Amino acid sequence: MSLEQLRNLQSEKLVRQVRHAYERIGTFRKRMDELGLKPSDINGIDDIRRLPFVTKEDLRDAYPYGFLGVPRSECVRIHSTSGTTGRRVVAFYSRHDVDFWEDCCARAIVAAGGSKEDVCQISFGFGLFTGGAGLNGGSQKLGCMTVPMSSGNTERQIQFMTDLGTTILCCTPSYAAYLAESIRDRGVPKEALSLRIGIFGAEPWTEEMRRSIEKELGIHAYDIYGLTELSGPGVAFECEAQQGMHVNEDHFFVEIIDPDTGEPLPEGRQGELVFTSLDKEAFPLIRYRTRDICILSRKQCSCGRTFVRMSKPMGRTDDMLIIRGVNVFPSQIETVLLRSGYSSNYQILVDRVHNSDTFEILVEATEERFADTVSGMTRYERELVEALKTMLGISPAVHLVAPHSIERGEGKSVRVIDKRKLISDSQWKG
Amino acid sequence: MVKQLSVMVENSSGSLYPVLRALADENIDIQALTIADTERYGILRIIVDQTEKAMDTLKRNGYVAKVTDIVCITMKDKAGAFSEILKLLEDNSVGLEYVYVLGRTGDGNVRILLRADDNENAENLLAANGYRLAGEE
Repeated sequence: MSLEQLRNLQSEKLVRQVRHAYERIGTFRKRMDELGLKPSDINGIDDIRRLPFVTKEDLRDAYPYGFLGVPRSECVRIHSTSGTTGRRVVAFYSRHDVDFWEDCCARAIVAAGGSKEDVCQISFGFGLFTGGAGLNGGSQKLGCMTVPMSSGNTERQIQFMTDLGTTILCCTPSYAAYLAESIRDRGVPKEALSLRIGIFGAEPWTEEMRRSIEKELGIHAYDIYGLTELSGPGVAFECEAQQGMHVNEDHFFVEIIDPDTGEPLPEGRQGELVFTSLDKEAFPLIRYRTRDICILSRKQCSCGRTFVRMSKPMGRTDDMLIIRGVNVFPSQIETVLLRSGYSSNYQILVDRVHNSDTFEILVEATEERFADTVSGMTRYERELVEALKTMLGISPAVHLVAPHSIERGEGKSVRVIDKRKLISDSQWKG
Repeated sequence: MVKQLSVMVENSSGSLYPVLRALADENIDIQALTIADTERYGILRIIVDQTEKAMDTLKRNGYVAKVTDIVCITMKDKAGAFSEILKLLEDNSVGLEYVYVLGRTGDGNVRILLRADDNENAENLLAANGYRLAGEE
């Protein structure tokens, strides 16, 4: 559709969504009232900049039902993701919401070159995580023979790949690299595999990683982007050009803003990605700040699609890390440490060894947490690992260290040392 | 029981000296010393002549330290003497955390320091078997 047709469609949907959110979501109505705005003041997407933002903290504070947009009996599913300090974020879905989300995922698979002739192996995690559910639904919608493997169980993953003739693999890029390594280690010849396409996301990955995985598995590898808050994967997807991801603009209105001032930035400028969910009924988010830093481009794409393209996220405005596919906020770790009798003198060390993320936390011991025996200290460490695992969903290695042994940079503590090279140095030209 | 001071020390070059220097500057004498080392830290265990003063000094200098009661046994300074003690403990299901030496007494005996999983139990057992135990001075 032409840009004008798209804008008209988006305007129509925005007006309806603002009215819906105003009626159903207390936080949104309150913010609108504070700004002296009524839904009738919003007549189209040009008015979007007048609307208030929604942040992760808002969603965390609204736990659990504060942002539910339909009666619970109309809600058919939830998915969930981590909040910044431990309170989860719950995203709700009506039947209609699940339906169009799966359409978005189906589009992603088609853009990657898939069709109903394909055998699509879903090696994203299933459950509260949206990765597995989204691609599973999209794959079935498209009509692919769908293999819902979830992650892990590498032996069986490879067995089904060779026995069933999997042609499309959907998982995190680090798991794809790990699978490639396992295939090589088991001596499985390339001829035994039918893989053609990879659809990878849920964590940052570089062009270098893409080329490496493509070479190892003999596939074309495509990026997919999304957030639980907006449905899940499928908000944006790469096409055969592999030059950025097309945003499903009929369902999601995208803006780039200056993270400090909140002012919208023109196309081509780097800033924070903000999405408005035009169609979601059960979880209607208007101007949700993703904290991902990105550039948008409306330059013509060789694939012919006219939806705007976003670059791979280039960083975060906050300190969130993605470790083994899981969102980790240092503030969550601090919460656990303080609750467990430690101080906030800690350091997070992240690296990638053999395609797997390593995650260590150094914590300075305190008088209450100093045992006279090494086994006593080890017990304290184990207790911390358990507490952190409950909070984060993954287990770090915890090392207690002597006070003042964690290096402090000029004045400010160096809280995170991330040795993985996840953001490409190469500039995206759009 | 005897009072032992445990101090957490970073396992890096040069980190032990400041601890000992701080004590020496306060005229505190160390009578026994051992270190349990791990990759990142060591637990320095010392017996000093002025336990409270040493604790204050260490705290003032930013160290994490604690006082632990441990058992001090006088035994014959001859081969097999400690093995006998060990057997006695094991036969009575008393666990050993760690052990080191305080020093010769000069009359053919030696005093050793020992932390059991249950120190009181260990002391009672040893006393019942004729061993001399050192208390607080």
